[in-house]
Amino acid sequence: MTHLISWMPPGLSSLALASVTVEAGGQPRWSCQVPTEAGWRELGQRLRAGRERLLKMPVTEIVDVIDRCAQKWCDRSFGPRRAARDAAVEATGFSAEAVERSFDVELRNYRAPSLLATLRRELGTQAALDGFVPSSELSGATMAIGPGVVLAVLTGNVPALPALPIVRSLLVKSAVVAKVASGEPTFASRFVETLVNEDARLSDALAVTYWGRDDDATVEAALAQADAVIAYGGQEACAAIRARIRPHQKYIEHGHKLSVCLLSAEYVRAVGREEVARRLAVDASMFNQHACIAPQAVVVEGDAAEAKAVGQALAEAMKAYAEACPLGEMDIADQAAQQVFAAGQAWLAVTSDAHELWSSTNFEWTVSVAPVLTPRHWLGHRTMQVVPVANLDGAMDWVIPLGPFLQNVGLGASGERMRSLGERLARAGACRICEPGRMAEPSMMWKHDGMSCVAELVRWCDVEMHTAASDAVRPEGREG
Amino acid sequence: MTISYADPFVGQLFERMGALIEADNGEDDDDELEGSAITLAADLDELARVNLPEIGRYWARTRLGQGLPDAAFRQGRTYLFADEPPARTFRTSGTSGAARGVAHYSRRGLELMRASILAGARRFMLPGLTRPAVIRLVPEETAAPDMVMAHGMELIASSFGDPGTSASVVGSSGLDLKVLSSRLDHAVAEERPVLMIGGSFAFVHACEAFEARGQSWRLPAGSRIVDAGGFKGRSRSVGASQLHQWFERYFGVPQTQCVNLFGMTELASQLYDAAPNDEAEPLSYDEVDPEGRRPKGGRATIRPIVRDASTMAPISRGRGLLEVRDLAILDRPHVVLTGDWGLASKRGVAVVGRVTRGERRGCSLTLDALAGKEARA
Repeated sequence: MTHLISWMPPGLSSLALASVTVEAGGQPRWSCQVPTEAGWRELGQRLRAGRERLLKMPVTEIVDVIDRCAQKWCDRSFGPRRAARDAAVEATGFSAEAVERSFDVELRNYRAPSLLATLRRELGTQAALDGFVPSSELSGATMAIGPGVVLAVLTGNVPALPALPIVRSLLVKSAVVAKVASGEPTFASRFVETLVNEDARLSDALAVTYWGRDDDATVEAALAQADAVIAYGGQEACAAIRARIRPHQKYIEHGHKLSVCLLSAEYVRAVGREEVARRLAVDASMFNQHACIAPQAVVVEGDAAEAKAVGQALAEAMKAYAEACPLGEMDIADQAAQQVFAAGQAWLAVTSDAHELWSSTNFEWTVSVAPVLTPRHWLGHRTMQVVPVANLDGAMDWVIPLGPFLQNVGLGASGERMRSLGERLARAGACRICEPGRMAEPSMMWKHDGMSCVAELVRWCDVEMHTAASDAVRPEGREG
Repeated sequence: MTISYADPFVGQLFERMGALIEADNGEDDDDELEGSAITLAADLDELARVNLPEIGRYWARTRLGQGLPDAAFRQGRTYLFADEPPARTFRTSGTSGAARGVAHYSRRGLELMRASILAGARRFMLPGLTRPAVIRLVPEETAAPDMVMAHGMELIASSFGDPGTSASVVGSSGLDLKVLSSRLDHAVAEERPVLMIGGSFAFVHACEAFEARGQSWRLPAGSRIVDAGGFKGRSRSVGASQLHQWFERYFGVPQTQCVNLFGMTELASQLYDAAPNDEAEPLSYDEVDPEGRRPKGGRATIRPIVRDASTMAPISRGRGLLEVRDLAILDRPHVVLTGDWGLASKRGVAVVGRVTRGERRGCSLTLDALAGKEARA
């Protein structure tokens, strides 16, 4: 019996959906309902009807539904979460604990205080989603309107990540079709099921399905129903979607990114090498380093001996982390790449004082020291490169070329250096700077990829130059 | 205390290696020859261990006898004779921002390499051919003095080819299709069989050009095409089956007369397709990959080894990491971990692509995107 990875509004006509089998590794693995060509039109109508129902709900009620759902999902003993964990282990090869930790850090962002803070940060007030709110600058009023239907094209690299675009869409009262990835297609439908179980008014506003990457007809049919598209994926996948976006559609893209960590000498002294290493190990090990926010390398202010000392401590910390939270299974291509990399690094370590290598026998973790930042050697799967630099300002020569891909920087610095390096990193392309040890847990408020991902979805309508502007505001929204 | 180049032990190794190359009949079941090869390999390991202490430390960190990775040729020392300056140095082309690999040869080492190249050519390229027109899709050696393929193919041409009709057809601005066409025309007119040799990608370029021009030849019977390597570092690849169809279509050379050669700058010998894919004994699905890449046989001088990607234990069937033991290498550790995938089967090992990180989908960057952006020392 294959697990159903799709979710459809109840009661779609029998002709609207086709059942397909989704393969993994050449074997039938999951079953999925995919709308037929006519079915996409019917689904679109249902989603728009579902969206009308969302519009009738105050946004605080939608927040409340998501919060109740997240509360359940934050409990490791919650049945659907346990089932989702097991399915994600099977699909991704992550260990059970690695999936659990991914779920923990992803899902706690969807509690009410986090959601409301996000709306405040991005929109000023969440009430603008319910109707006009006063605007003193306009001497009038303003209102935010989300798209009717959002198509979210998901990836499978981070367990539970599919919840993010679903939540963002619901926050702006949009219906959403989530297209899951074959790498991890099981989470989204379970999460959506919980949302609908919490409040049946969401039932017509949510759909989860899957299609193969070459299924152009289905992509076109799905896009025809969408007013906005949120796409996650590699450069090619994103480019393929971007090319199909129509002028009226909003488009938010989360393409490839990478992250690094920079440590000043003062920071290592103040925090202590072992504690710094423990923090780095958390950053590098969470999501098995598959997320764009996970660092692939750390630049250490100091000489080669200092880099080796940090590397040694990091190796110990990575080992300890792996004992509590194993990596899981690695596919054969990645194992081969690790073997070739390890052989190369082993040779460099015995021939050059500037190199060193530590790794577990089964590549649960790997730490290397090299004299220059070498992105070619960033393999993921908890592989960290440690690089010394005489002065941390010099690290910018390496970081600036990464600019278009730079996401998250764990910056171990304070005082004037925090300011100057922070500004340079921001200008170089970084979208997030945090303390080492906190790289894997960006808040919901963070401007993901440098964008206001909720605000980007909405359209605004202003009332101005009108003597009755305040009348547009609902009584409960009027001041005084 | 290192072993001097002038040490009799080195002289004896040189003699034994030369004798092995000479005696190597290309068969896989000569126990006596293989016994000599194993003893020789142990002595070469000993030389490497003494003259390059790093190799012992490398084995301690990995596993005894594991081949040197390509990274070793890009950085650090692999040449074993501090008291004997290299007579010749070849360099890799370098890919995606990485430094070029270097392989130094002593006078003896160069002699062994030449002997091994000629022995391989005699066995796999020349059967049925007498003084063919050797047409090389690689530059003249003088134009590319550090390119091992230019050296090896010119050596084959000068040793076995007809002097009047053999030539390189690569000039300063690349493959010269006009010269290639006229050489082929000439061979057809003279009814002289042709041995075309060159890099796989050069053949793709030639075939595509001839398709566009509507040109084709029926080369004289017995003509043979030997394409070398694959498509490492190229923007695209063409399957072996496709290449063989083109060879038949544009040159009239049947696939039974087509051979793929695997060589590396880091190696002195080359591996050749073990068996043509003929109808008498067709290759089965576990011997050949979907692109038609065929198994390459081992012989006493050079032997492909496939290691399990997880455990690194040698395996006799299936996919794993390709390592090559080359007993024509005197000047460096003689086993190389190539960085390629090997598909082991009863008839040999098909070389089925470079090892790269598995496909990763999602927001985490696959680093091909950063090619060329890599920080340099």
